[in-house]
Amino acid sequence: MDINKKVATRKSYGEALVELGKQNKDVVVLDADLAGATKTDLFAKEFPNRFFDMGIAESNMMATAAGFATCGKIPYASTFAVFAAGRAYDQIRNSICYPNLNVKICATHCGVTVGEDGATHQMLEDLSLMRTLPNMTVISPSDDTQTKWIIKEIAKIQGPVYVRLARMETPIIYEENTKFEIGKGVQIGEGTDATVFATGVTVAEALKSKEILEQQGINIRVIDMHTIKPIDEEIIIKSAKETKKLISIEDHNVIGGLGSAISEVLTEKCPAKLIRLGIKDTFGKSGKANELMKYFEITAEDIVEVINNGKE
Amino acid sequence: MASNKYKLDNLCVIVDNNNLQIDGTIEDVMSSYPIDEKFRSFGFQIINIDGHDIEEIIKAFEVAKNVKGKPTCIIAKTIKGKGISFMENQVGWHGKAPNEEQYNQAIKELIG
Repeated sequence: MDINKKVATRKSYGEALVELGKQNKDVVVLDADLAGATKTDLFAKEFPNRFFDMGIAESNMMATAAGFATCGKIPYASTFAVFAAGRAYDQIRNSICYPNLNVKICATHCGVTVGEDGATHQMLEDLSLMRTLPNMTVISPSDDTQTKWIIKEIAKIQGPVYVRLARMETPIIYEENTKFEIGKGVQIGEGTDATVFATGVTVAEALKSKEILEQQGINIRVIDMHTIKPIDEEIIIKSAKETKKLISIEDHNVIGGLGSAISEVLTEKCPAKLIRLGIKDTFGKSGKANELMKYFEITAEDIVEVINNGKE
Repeated sequence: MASNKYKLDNLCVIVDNNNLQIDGTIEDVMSSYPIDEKFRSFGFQIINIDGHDIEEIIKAFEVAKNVKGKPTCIIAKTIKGKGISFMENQVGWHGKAPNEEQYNQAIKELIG
């Protein structure tokens, strides 16, 4: 992990879209008056005829994306997560997921790490809303390399996909051309003292905690759960059997997100205790992203605290 | 807004206006009138027709097909349950199926 080189996954998304646009002429991009913030403006500049600014009308954007999919195009629809998964939920459900259409919803500005914009713009329940929809694949990439890979990869699979992207800049974790697989978590380290399941912006925090703990003689493993649905059951069961403690950490409500998805697997397949770090069923707040991560206890230090003192 | 922005002259919206909603008439529940003015202000060409007149429907489609640079909205005035005495203009028939006796009566009336 290169802590000095930081990139926001929304930027990685914008750059990957341009590359994808060159490779695949069927790719079209829709935005709802936030192209500068979601970074789809990079695609718009390169391919103005394949970019559609649908205005502040997210429901119509999703319905239009569904229409593009029925015509054989591969639409990528973007806006902030709160407007995508929240405001346009009905269209995502009935017009995209029910007919199983090939729409890629790439939502930026997820979680409390949106920062100053505050609670109205900090989406904390999108993983929950999206993963409960039949046919939907849900991805929450952790860094620049993984985001660029996933944006190109989802063009190859049929059906709706929700990708959760961040505003905050985070370290580059993976080397270029690292191989990933949708539905397969990435295990980093072999430690057996604990497993930390992380997703999105919290993967870098989990890796930081791994380093801190190593100096204390505690060896953990980190699992980057970039795919929330379908969840990687195998890696969850393996970790539950091989490690002493299980922790999940996410910039999302503890209800319905990564921690819940893991709990569902554990309960049914391999009963074990899981400590869930995340936003504890409350709305966000306005502040600097790193301050908010501390306030809501989703930092490396919070993981260390849980592992050392069993704080829950 | 989007159909006007992208000048979708291949888009034709049909409003089946029977003046009834689920709880009551449009005026009683929440009036959406005037429908034509609303669509016109969003850039649509408006055609008002009798929704039970096949010739008028065909004529309206021809007009819609030939208009350039803007979408069309055909507002078809209709009567809910038309041709069946006990269903005509009855709000209650929004979402329920007739029983066998009602079905037989309805078919009898429709065939005449």
